[in-house]
Amino acid sequence: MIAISVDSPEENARVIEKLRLGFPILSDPKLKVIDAFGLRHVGGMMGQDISRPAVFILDESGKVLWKKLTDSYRIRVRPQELLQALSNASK
Amino acid sequence: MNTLTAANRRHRLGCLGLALVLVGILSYFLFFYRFPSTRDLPWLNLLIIGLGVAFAWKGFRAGRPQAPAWRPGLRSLLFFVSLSLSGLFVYYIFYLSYQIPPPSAVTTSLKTPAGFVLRNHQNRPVALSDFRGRPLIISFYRGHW
Repeated sequence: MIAISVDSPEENARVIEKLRLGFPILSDPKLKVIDAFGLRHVGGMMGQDISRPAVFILDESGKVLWKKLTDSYRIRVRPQELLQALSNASK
Repeated sequence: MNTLTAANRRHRLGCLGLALVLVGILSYFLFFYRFPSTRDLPWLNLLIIGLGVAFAWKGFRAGRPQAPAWRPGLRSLLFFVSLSLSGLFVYYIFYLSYQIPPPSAVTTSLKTPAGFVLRNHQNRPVALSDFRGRPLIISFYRGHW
């Protein structure tokens, strides 16, 4: 698993340590990958462009198997939902 | 004397109401936000906040004619601050947090994302192709923690 945000590597390192995350956060300050996934939220954070929250599962060949975009940035994919999607994808 | 004591009691009721509202709001962001069952619909926080507003309302309304002149002012303040903070919380939960763009055409039609290289938290380059041959979860965060 990887995460992607607009934050700098230093900021992401701080978040990983603080939240004890077991996966890397990649830095996309110019929103190149965020745009490639169509997730730009213009002015989403105090006037600055950020990513809309979203989760994708890619298969072994890099194809999108599953994706989830929530309606609210408070409401994220639940771990059980992700595990179920992974289980279905591997069948 | 009795009137003053009763007024103090009502004043305390207003303070208790405001305190409950603050606890209800702050505990959401500091604690309950971590758990999906209390994050997605903050029922417990809304319950605490509702109780707080009820206490503040009771303190505001109870025995108004007998209270000294300055007391209703303070109780009014406690009630309206409680009500305003509660309103802001409800506004954030049920409206503001939903203000994100709808899924774009690029997202909905995306089949195979193009390769990319980004820097990880250790400032080392990581490529999408590094994960080829195994399933991969990619989670996009808003950032600005």
